Amino acid sequence: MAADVETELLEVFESLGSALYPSPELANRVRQRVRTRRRRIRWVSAVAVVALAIVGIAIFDHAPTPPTVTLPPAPKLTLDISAVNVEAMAARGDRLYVARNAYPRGLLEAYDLRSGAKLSSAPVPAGPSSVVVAADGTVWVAFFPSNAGRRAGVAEFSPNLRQRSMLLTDGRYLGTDAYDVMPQGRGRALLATAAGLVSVTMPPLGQRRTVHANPTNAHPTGPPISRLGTPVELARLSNGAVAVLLVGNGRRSTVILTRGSARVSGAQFSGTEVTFAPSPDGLWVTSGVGPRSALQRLSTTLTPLPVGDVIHTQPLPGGWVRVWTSNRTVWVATRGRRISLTCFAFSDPQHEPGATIDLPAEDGAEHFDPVVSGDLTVLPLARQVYVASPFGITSYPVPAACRS
Amino acid sequence: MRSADDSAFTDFVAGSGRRLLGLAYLLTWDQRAAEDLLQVGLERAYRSWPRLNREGTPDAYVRGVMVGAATDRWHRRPAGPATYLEEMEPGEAGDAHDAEVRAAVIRALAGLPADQRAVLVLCHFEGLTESQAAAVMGRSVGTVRGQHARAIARLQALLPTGRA
Repeated sequence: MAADVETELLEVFESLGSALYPSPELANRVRQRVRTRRRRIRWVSAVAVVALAIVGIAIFDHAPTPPTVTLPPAPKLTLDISAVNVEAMAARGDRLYVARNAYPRGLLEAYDLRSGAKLSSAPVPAGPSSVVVAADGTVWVAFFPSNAGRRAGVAEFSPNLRQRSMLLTDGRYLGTDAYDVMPQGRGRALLATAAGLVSVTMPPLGQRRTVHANPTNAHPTGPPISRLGTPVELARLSNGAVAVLLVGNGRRSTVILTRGSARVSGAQFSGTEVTFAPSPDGLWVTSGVGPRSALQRLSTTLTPLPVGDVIHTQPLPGGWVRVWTSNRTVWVATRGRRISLTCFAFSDPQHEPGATIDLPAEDGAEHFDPVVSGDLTVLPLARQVYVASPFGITSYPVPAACRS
Repeated sequence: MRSADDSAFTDFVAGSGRRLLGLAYLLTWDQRAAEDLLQVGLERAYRSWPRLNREGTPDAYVRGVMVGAATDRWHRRPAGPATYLEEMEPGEAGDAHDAEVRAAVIRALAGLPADQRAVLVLCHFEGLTESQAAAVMGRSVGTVRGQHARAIARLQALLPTGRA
């Protein structure tokens, strides 16, 4: 009897499993999506070498003089969730927001960072690309379109995720992809989209209506930037300017500063492997892959600043992977035999103590921006890559040398 | 990424895309969700492509990501009727009973929990053993064995009498 069932199963599976054909454009679609999801994803190869060409920016060498402390890889807290589809995270106080892809929809969840308990969750119309907590505590999520016909857009949630307002794209004004969102005051935000930079005004929280983008509530803003590439990541600098990372056709990336509708200045990098993060006096940037990668410190006008000893701390066969910041603390992910997180509280460019956390994972920090909240740094990690449930969200104590 | 790696990725998608999309469909029971699921798996594979290509295991990697995503408890949702339920044709000889059995299997599969359906797909579509399926799903062999047995029993109970 069981054999009959299994025979029927095989026939049904073979019939249904061979009925569909993938789109001829699938490989290109995957490439494009990966290259433009900058906030969460960074593809790094130890063998590929991309020549670094920076306009007006110095390149720093890596001297192997590490004043760092290696911590035991002891996670402080691991949230009991599968993080296989974690797309972005953000934290405020003890609350961690995790945006996940729950195809064809997305999901936004809030966790208590101290206990690991899930506090609340809310659906997102499509797969999320970025999550940001605004100064007023509201949580903003930008999301991509899906194959299932879900449109891109942005949603604003109350801190407890119980109220939501939403803006869906109509494809005409916002383009088809929303890569990043930067809250700019109550109900207002700047979006990085396939169509350029767009400012939006949301409906009030709690009004569960869908507002379609139109010229009255969404309009292209800022300088013409389409010839430079697609804006994929935003960061506000201490002088009020907005830094925009533009990715152009896989050959070059550009960081520009905008203030209102004016473009202030810019710097160009070869390749698409660029990450950046704001600091009180400017911007930290990683660019390139492998041993030719570089970490730079730039001013608020994108001129190079001295970096000091800390970034010369590691022999880097795999290079700098990504950089992010929290207050005055700078974090860099580096690739050696495995991915490591090196941090330092930056104030004196000549000498800063730092610390390194060697991650016990094959996959993880190279793809995601960890978030830092209080004395915890949190990131999703994959311990093995060939099984289905290797991912978890793990937090580590921030080393004392890195607290700021 | 080197052009050789990029070409290898294109070849991989061209060569394995249909099979992986079939797996995605059987895991999700929805064509559009399957396309999204496959894209999720391929995007993750592309990020680590040089290593996966060098190790010769991109299929296993994409399969692992898709199974993990499809069986994630937050993604489980009641499966609707299979897209192709109405499109399934009777057997070549016009055997109405075979068609009835097949339709019953499809209905029964649609009603299975995502975990049980994933076990069936891995064991009867991908051809894995229960131990291999357990490794892919990150579950114990005992758990997968139990899910497999319950799924088969449920299918048997739902099939038309006289066949199962």
